[in-house]
Amino acid sequence: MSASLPDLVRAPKTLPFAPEWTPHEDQLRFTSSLDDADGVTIEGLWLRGQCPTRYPDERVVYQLEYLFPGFRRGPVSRIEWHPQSPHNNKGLGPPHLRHIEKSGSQVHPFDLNWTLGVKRMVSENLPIGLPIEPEPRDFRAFTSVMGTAFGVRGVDLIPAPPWQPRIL
Amino acid sequence: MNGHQTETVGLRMVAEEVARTLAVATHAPEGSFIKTPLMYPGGSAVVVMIAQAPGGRYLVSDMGQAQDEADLMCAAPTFAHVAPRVAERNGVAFDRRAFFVVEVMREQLVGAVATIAGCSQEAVQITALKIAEARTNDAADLLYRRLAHVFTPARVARDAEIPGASTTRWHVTALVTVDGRPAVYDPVSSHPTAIAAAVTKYFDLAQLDTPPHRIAVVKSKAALGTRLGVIAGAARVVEDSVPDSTLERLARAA
Repeated sequence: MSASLPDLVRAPKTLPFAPEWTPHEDQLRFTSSLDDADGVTIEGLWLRGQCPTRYPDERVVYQLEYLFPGFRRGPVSRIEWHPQSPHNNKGLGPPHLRHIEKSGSQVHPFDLNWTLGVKRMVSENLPIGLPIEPEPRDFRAFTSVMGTAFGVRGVDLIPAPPWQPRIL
Repeated sequence: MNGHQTETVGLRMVAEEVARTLAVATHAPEGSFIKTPLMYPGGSAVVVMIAQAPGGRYLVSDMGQAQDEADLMCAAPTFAHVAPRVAERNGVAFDRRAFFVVEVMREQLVGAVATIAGCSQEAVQITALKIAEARTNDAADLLYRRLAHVFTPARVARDAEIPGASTTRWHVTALVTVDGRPAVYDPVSSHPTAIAAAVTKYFDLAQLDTPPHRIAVVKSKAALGTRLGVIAGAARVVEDSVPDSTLERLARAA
């Protein structure tokens, strides 16, 4: 299965219907299957969304996840809007970003992380990231960037998370 | 100052600046956040929150950041197993979400922040190592390799499909054919869902006119508890510690 993973990730995909954000501890989440170009549900590939319930427009994450042989699920691509902490590619990835601590939104593309091999890609949690420039101005813009980065159509179906801002 | 002295002073200034930048504090109404120099395996910095507590004390927490990291690695169950032990070893608390210390005094803050950051990083690192190891030593792979050694690879089909009496096609980890008779082998975890799925499959296979031998390989029969009796109604159950000769005998047994 993993031999065809690059084709699977790079192929156009479609969100079949509007996912619903549901509470999960202190977060909101959804997991949606994805359709291929013929409208067939892709086996073993999902889009996940998550964000903290109490912090609107902060730490929003979309992740493509794949069911690897041996029935273990793992991340294959991720995009983060306003993450809490900066990211450092260490000595990996594009030379101009090595050992540079980057704050702000970022994408962890499949193609860059796939070069590390599947074991490192998954167990090191997609260690190579790229900054998203310019910063998406709002949730809709970020979701649109995700659709382009992941090759997923129909992302406008994703509703804004029902955040419940903390009142101090 | 000569050239060498200028360079030394320059280096010291750079080093001071680097040292200052390694940890940075930001502030929000709910507390202050310290970006530490520690990193999770994926390269995100470990951030620790300090919040004011009653009596001039402080709460120090990783806010569940380690759990979030592990969760994005799809390794939340492994982390849930690892984190309490890391917390216990370091004398801090873990509440199934975050590492934290309560009632920290002012003079303890630096040490508490360092400890929480270390716990947060360590728990994710151990989780990452465990899932990397698990992928290599996946139970299905191990079982297949063992059967291929016992029966020769030509006789063992990995990830095969076999129809049951209902004509449902069932996935099996290994399909071994000995003397024209098939035998299916699957690793079965002690999780109720895994057992239910295995029993459904084995029940359907058992209804065939010429059913295959059905062998469920488990880590520990004791861990299955009363569910061992459920699965034993549809398959023979062995622990993975049985000798190769037992696995071989099961494929030939009537």
